[in-house]
Amino acid sequence: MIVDSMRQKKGSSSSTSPCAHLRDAYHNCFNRWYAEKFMKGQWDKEECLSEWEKYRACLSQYLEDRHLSRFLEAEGEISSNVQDDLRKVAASGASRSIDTALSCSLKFNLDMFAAAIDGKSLYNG
Amino acid sequence: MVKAYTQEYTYKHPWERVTSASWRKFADPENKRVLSHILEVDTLNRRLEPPSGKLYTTRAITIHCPGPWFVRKIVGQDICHCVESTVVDAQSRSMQLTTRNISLQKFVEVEEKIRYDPHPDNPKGWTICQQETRIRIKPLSALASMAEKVEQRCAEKFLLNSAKGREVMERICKYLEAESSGLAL
Repeated sequence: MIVDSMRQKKGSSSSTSPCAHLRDAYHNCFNRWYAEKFMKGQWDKEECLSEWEKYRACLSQYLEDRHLSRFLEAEGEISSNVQDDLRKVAASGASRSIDTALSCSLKFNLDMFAAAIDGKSLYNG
Repeated sequence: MVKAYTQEYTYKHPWERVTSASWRKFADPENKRVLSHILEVDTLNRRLEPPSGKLYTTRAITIHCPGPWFVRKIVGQDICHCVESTVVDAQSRSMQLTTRNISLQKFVEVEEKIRYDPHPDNPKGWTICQQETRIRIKPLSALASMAEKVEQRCAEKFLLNSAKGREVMERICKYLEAESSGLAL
């Protein structure tokens, strides 16, 4: 099968992200907090803040440098009728805010991206 | 041209353990071999609402989706970025994940919704997982003329990947179970 041969060619997918170490540190901390505290009713305060700050700082740099510019290349040709289409299809406000973000695409940065896809806007609908 | 698939699965593990496993599903290095189509998972955003016990998280997921050659030719890339939004309501014990592709949207829209709830027959011991996947090929896209084939491919891949996902989930649940009984001793 094509799928299988492609997977073999790809080999073990070692991460290419420069933030991989900081990400692992944060995710390990988060997983522990989730299972040992949040699931046991201790949801009064967030933890792993320093891990989160470091990881997020790296990520914003990385997304601005490479990741999001790739997003933009992929999405740059979205025509207005596709946007209308998206609007109709969208059950929630989410893709509306995504395409608003895309229309200001030249100023696309992490904060806008985060705002566009913020969990809150997704679940208001 | 929308195809929707629903699946239901019961984990014989409590909700707390299953949702803990869900967070680890893509991130544990050991699982990366099985779920090798997942290249990167990054957390973009998180928010905890202390009084209600709700946790909102947004993650970016980069997927390797090679597909058949003619799709690659049209689409021009075999990497797809998705955004996953999760709400965990610790008080009412529910977890909902919604994942959408944000690249390649002019060709295809994929939306996957997963819910984890305590199983009605055994709320303390089991968890029910309901999954709905919707695939929509854009009618005006260059893929539309081959939509049937493409949708078929997508569907095969989704079924394959969700079976693999369950396998991984079961493994992590077992691991967490062993870990927690180890801690209890």
